[in-house]
Amino acid sequence: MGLLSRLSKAKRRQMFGHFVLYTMPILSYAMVAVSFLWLLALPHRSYSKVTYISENALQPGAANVQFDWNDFVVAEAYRQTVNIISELPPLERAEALRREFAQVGLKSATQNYTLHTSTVTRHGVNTYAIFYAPRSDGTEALILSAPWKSRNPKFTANTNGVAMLLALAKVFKRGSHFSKDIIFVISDGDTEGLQAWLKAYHGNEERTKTRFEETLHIRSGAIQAALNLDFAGTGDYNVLGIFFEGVNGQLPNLDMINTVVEIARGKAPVEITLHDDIMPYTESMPRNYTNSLNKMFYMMKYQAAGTPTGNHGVYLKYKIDAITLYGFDKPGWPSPRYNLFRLGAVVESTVRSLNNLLEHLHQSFFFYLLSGVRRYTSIGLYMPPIIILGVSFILQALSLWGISSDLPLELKVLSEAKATAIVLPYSRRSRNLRVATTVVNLSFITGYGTFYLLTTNLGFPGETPLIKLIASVGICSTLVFSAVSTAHIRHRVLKERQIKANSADKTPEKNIAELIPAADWIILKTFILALSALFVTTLSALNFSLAVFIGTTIVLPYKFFRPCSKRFLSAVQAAVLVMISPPGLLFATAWWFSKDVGLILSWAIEGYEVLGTWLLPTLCCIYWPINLAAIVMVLLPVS
Amino acid sequence: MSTNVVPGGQKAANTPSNNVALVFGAAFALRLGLLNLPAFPSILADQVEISTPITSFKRLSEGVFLFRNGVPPYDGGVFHQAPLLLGLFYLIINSPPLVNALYILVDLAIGYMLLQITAIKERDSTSEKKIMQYGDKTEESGMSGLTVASLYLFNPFTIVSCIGKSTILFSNMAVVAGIWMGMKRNKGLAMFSIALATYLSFYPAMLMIPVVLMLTRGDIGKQQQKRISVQCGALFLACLISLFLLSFVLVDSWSFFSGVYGTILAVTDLTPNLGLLWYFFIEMFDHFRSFFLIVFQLHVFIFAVPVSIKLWKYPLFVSFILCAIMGTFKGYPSIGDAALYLGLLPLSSEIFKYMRYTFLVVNLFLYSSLLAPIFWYLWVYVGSGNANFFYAIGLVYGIGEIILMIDTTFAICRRDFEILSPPETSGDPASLGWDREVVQK
Repeated sequence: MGLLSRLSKAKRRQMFGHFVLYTMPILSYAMVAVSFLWLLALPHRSYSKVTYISENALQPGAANVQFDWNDFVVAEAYRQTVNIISELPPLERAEALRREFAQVGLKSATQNYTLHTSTVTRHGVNTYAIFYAPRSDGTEALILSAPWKSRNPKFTANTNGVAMLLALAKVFKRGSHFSKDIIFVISDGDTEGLQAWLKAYHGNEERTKTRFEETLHIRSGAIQAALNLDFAGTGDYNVLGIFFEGVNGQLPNLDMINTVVEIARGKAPVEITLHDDIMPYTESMPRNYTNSLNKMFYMMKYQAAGTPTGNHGVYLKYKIDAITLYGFDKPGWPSPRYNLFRLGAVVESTVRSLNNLLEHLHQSFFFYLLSGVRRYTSIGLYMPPIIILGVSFILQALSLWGISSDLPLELKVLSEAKATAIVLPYSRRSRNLRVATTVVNLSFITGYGTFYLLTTNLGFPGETPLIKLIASVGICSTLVFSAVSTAHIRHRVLKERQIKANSADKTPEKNIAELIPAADWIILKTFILALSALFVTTLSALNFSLAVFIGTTIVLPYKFFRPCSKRFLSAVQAAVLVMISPPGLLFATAWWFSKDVGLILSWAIEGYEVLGTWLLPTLCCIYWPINLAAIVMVLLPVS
Repeated sequence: MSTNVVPGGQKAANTPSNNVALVFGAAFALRLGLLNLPAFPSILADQVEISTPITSFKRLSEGVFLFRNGVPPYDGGVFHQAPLLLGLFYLIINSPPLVNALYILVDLAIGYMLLQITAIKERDSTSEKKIMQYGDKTEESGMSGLTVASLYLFNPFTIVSCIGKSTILFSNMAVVAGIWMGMKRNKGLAMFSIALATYLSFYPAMLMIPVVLMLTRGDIGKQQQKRISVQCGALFLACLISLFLLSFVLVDSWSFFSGVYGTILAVTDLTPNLGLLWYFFIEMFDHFRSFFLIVFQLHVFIFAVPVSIKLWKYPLFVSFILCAIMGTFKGYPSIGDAALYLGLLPLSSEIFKYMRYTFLVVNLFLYSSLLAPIFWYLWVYVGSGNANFFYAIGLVYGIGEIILMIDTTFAICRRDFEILSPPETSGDPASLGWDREVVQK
């Protein structure tokens, strides 16, 4: 009796183990659903909160604004000057601007820079001037900057922005209440100009074969915060946009945005919005779920790309909180128009507010998602869905890992003329990791190879990034093809050998069979899922949006796909995986935005080479290898 | 084919020597290549997970510079490494290729010693009684020496620790040499190596016990065992004292005691690392400090005796577990410590099939080694994270190490049980022993 009860106990234990192993995948799919729904809930009004000024020292809008009608007239005069200057070639233009600053009475200088990437060469000249605050000891500074080129493609120059800078220089010069020096920077080029300036300011200027950055001759103290102005053309605007996403999805302290929003609502009323093409903010607006969703999606899109949406993004690399104010005209929008007069008030008030800071901005949030100018979701509220997504990968990996060593050896025990199979302890089938590790290692090597190929100038004629990409796609497909065919041949040989062996010795008394290790694809899929979990969760700490986009793209294919005995189905799965591979995504993006494929590729390469964005290395060195391994996995033999 | 001859005159592991050459050649080439990349070694050398205050190459260079210019190197609180290292690098630090070569060779030497240890262990185990398993099979033999060596040489932790020029490597070499000499029953060299390891990083002193266990293993009388133990104690002390005297002669002051061992024991340099102590002592009020300091340091040593008593039959495993305890609970752990105990673990490869949390441990190590630099970046460079982020990853890493220790200890006890009561593989079903798993768990 004792034996029988122990037998059934063993049996029950085994069944429980199986139950856990086989229900875990179902649970993991449920977690995917929860994670998706949760992500969709993020922008909802009842999930996000209203922003507030967290740093009390800021006191937005408390100071009396000095920018008056006279200054407005000065600003308009400067606009004329800038218009004339903009006709000059870059060097003379920078010199003319420097002279304008010098005439206001500020110390001013220019900085040359040259930059060679693997595809292009860029030269430029930055102009900068420093207002030394009468009461400061020169240890802290604020920056007001304007890029020469506007993000608005309709205008050639950021005329109003530069004019505003000059006019404000004049206003600040007569003020005596500044506790921080104010640096005015007019940067050339896209973002590389400001980056060269910032590098030199922090004493990191490079003089190598690829980069040349001139040393700065006048300096001030540690930069506390920066405001970047982008007001293209010479007209008026009706909406003020805020851009804030920096390099690799870094964000400025939320108080920066809060301050401007607070001022634009009270001291100097201006219609204000996030970014540029969606609806501006009104009190009733956040009630509209799709609008919030749209805005959050916009922000996440910019954050995921990792390329800054303006010059402010470069400041963030140096731990300087910064945003870009962007004036634009939205035809048909009923908000009142504003000109340089109102703009002067907004910018001056913001600078006066930042001037109040006693220490670096640290109070409010550094990790947030915005679904409107006044609604945010903080890290504690947005991290759970991506963690759940990661856990769903891990659960399935764990279940597959368990399955790959189940089917324990069974010993037939004869008791009371009834044979019962018993599981023997520590006699599980062993795992054969060789194929899986080889595939994973090879795909990582190809990924790194592709990355190396794309970012090195090999110097053969007619070399473009696209050709290199095509070459590496060729290498990858050869790799996949050879791996898969080797696996199939090996599988067939093993099977034949096994059949021979089985027919050779048929010993019925042998009650313990030799166990065949689990199929290679199971182990490979375990690796793929575990690596994906690792990738998505660690990436979410760095760039949440990119992690969300990648996680939601790969979760279902990677979890669901497996080799099928029907060749056709395997091929379909492989096709889907090719579609979500980096080249597939590249072509899809090019088609969606109807842009040139080569252009998008060079954009990604340039982002990496100029600013050090991680999009290209992440996609090449982590995303693509896992994807390649998954393609091999679905094409492996089934058994 | 296998004509590898160890100094003792015996034949080495019967691995084809061209395979050995291949593995060591590849390890050599890999290290040489990585050390000659432009920025890579200095980036690694700056990682707090790789270089701690007591193993950083940068600090060593600073010490050498001070020494060369006649400034007492231990003044100023930057340099905390043993004087003899100072002496060694004083000679070669001006020639980077020599320094690189030294690091590569020491790392390869550890690999070679692991290969030899496996060979000795295999020879030992031929005389042991085999465990019978179900189906009348004997237990499969453990990993070959070459596998053990390549698991050490190609472990990413080992590689980055070597490329980052962490001086923990020298202490690791002394530890492995001590174990090798212990297995070879060479009292003098074994004790010298352990004394050297103790001299370099203090904690390996507790490896005295497993090494003495190795020296006295086999059929030796009680009297003989006692005699050897006493001799070992004396040898160890003699070696240690002569090392101290040599150091005194070199730097001409005893200040290295407080500079090296004072820093190790009192955890005075609170530069963040992967360990569990720095955060405690930053947060703690000063009047609690000495109490917790004593508790934490005792905690490291307290396991040495009970573990050695319980597992006296497996001195190799004891040395693994003691190294793991050191690597987890010491004041300045780095991944170089992990490289050591992960290198020693495959020496007990016969326990692997009894381990239950391999997947979990591997994942914990992977996550912590990826997230630690990321959170460090968020804390120190971006400024959006803070110290708690990094310390949390230190905790995760610690949990991984602790689970590994628990799991391996369970596995060796379980295997011990299998040896004590081998399962019946024939006869009456009731006595087959199949239900032991049920009873056990």
